[in-house]
Amino acid sequence: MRTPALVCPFYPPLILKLKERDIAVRVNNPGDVSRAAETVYSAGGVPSRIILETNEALSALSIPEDWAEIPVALFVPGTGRYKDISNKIQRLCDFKIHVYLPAGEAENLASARILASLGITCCLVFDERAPDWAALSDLMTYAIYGPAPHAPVEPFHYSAEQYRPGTYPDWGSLYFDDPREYLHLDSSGRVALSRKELSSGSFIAENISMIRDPLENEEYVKGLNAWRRLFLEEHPCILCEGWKVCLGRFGLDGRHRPGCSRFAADMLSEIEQSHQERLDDYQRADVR
Amino acid sequence: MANLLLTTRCIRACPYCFARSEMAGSDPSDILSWENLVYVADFLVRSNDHHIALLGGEPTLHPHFTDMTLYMLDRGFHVTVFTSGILSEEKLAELESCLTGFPPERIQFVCNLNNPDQTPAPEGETERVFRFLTAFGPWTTPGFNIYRTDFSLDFIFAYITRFNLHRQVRLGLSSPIAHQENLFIRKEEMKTVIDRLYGYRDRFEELRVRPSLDCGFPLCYFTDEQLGWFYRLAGPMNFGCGPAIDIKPSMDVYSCFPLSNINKRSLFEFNSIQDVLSFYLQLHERIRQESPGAFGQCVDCIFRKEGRCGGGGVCHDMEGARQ
Amino acid sequence: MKTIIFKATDLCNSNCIYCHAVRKEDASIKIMPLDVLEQFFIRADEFLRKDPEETLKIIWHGGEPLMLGPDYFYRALEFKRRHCRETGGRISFDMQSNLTLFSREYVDVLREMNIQSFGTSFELLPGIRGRGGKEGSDRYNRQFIEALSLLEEEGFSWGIIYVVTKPALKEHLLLFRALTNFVPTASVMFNPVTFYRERPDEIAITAEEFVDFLGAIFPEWWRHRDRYPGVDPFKSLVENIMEGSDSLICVDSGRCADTHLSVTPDGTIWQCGRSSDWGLMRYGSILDHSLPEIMNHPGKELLRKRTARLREGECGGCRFWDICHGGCPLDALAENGSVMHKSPWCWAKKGLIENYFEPVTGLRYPCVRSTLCAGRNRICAKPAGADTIQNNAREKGEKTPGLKTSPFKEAL
Repeated sequence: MRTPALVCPFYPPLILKLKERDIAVRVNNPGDVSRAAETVYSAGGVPSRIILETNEALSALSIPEDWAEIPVALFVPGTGRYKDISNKIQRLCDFKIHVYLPAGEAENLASARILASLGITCCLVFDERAPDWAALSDLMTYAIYGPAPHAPVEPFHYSAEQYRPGTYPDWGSLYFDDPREYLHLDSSGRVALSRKELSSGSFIAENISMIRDPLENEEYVKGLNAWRRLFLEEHPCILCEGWKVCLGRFGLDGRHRPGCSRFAADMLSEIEQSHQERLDDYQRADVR
Repeated sequence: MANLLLTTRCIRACPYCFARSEMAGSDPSDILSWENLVYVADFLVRSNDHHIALLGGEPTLHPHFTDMTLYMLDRGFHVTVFTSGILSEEKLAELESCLTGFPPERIQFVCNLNNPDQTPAPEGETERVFRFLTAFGPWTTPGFNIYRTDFSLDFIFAYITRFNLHRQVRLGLSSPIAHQENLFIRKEEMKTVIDRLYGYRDRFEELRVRPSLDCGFPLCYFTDEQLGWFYRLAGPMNFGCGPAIDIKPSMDVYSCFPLSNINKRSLFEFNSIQDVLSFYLQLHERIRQESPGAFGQCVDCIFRKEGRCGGGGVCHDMEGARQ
Repeated sequence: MKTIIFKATDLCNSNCIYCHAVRKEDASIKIMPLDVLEQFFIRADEFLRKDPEETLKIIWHGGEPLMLGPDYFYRALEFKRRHCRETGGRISFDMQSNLTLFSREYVDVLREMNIQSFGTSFELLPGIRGRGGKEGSDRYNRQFIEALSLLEEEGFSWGIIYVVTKPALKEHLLLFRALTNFVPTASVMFNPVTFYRERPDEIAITAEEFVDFLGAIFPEWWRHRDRYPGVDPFKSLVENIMEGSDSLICVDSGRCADTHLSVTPDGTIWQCGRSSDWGLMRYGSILDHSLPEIMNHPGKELLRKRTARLREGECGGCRFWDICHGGCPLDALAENGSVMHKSPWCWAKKGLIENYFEPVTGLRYPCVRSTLCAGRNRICAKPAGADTIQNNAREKGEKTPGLKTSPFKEAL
């Protein structure tokens, strides 16, 4: 099993203690992006991602040259007008930046398509606001079947690429919400399985050094595949046709039903079709 | 190159407008969405076509005109905008700040100009056009639609000099709209128009302005002398009539404005722009099979049979059929 | 290949209402002693030496095999290495477990046994599995789910057998959705309940009810069969009917006499796992008899004769013979007191195909098979469309007998 990366706040005394680990650092100030990356390097680690969460639109941010080699997850409420981001497009394409946009804002669905068409990876964030499911479905179709090459629109691209009959393309890791890939630390170094559990104070260890092998930690094992708990609760989501590509994430454990259910069912159908078409293409190529 | 209508709203009411039928039948709120713009861009990229014309109505009326134009430029397209040049100060300032950084090879405007004496404009409109031409002169080719035989081009030459416009005039024949009424040049007036154009040759040569003839001019109405002059000043000429491919905000597609009521389809039905072109070429051929040309002499014309002249605009055939 | 249901223990940490093993609460030997375990491997080696083409698949069963502890399995491997030096390569292992006791301690020995996948069970309805009513079920399921996570992280796969009881009948589609959502590979086998210790009126189902349960699910499965590749009995039906596969599970093969055995903790050899739980079809002990001797037991011979007898008799002319062979002899024995009858669950297959598979798919068996194989398949060398005695009975409105009460409750 891969050693999970650690998601921490930007607190150098903590980071410097995390020797030689993959670390994702949360910052709120764009100016801290480079500093956070340098701090991780100083600890002998590798910045898995610098997570910049800001209330400013993409149009209000500058993308400095020194971000070029830093993998950045940029959480913004929106892009702003295109004319105000046009001069950033080249850097957004060339640098290792993924743009995260709330799916609940209708114009973000268009923005995600625009950015992806220009070669910029976008990730939709599903939160308290239910998206326009019809528009989201249209965007999903674009992400999977778009006629011209484009950058990924997540989580659709990941789901389509990872899908195999008999698997769950669990896309939580795109949002740092998969304990296989990420553990979350507070500034004291206490360890939680997710951002949500960190916020609610549910820690699995007081210190990361107490977790040499995550599978030895009982709470960690319990937290893997947390979506299975819904089956214990007889949650309506477990009956959803689209469950395999959702695992409760689109509708926040069913809060946005039935819209999320219909959407997930459509998405699963499209992914299956896409998968079958790829298989058919491979077979045709083999025959030739 | 495809023509993409950003909106069906227009700021003018030109008496010759051959887009009128489309504009009248459309919902003013029918504007191109971002999703459809991206689709069109992808469609053209996949077709290996990197040219696009943005028009309307008046394309600058689209609330996201600046953004959409920038987007297409960032996608690597060469963009041509067909505009009246009638913009608000605010919009003009925005365009200036965003687009003047691009060289004319990437973006150009074709500004459709009306003679201020023969087609009077409402108050303030001419000033707005002048402001536009002042800002975007080097990016702009003047356009003029001939809808009356006593047309005058003097104002165009004056504008070219004053605003440093491209040394070229796009000259269009106002065409009849199939199944509709509008002001247009009739077949029997064609010779008069060509002679009058030729009458401006000294002015063209003096200012080194190239006349660029749009579709519908019949070859046989030019004398050898006139043909020689046009060729010497403007290079090879095209006397054909083929599909222009207009795409509406709704993704409806048709051959061109004058034929907008015939065989309208959806862009989603096609896989490439070449497929669309092929489809409408077949339409033209079907029409021409029944009506070889707009003029009586087209039936036996060697130039039409050799494919060097289209026999006037197909729209004229439809007008003839309507009458 | 011989399949041996190896019940090294009757101990279990659960209390599933349909479990056959519960009848053994009074059995004196709960865990197979090591000398018996060793003797088994001696017999296995003896058997495999006699037939160089033969292989053995040993399915650890119970009770709950993980109650044996990892050391027990290490001893089994040691005995195998010691006594099956040249034949050990023809012995493979599998396991059927409730997984609630799975821990990292088992990982190495399971890998050494080359066990990569587990058969298990899962129940969403309360009071069917686990000890202590709903609370017990919930606790049980939590343990199960935690174990699954660990199992998957260690690279093992799993599928479930779902035992259909009366409470499940009205929840057919919901159960199907929930179960196929729960299991990543959608590997779910639906079996009817055939044994229950208590509350028969609340638990028992008839063959018709089982068929209708499956039939309610089948259209949904058929529409998305690529999404649910491992759902049985549908998958097997498709393989047999549409793809011409000859692979049949034991109850349908008509050859279980030649393919199956079971061993219980005291070393007794039985026909199969269920027969050992029901105390029927006992053949002797590995302490006294070799496996070749067991394979020639009169009980085995009777089973072999059964196939021929049924083909000419009760099942004569049945168009489903090739994929049924009269069903499980144990069910026939339990119902009729003799193996020389077809299974009372005959309708479970026939009804599913006639009432659901054929109408939904638009295919007809056996015509599809003959088209596929163009007559090369020996099994299809039969006249197509022959009516069957059972079909006539159905048309006359005669109900196919189902198990209304547990015969074992009566026997006990």
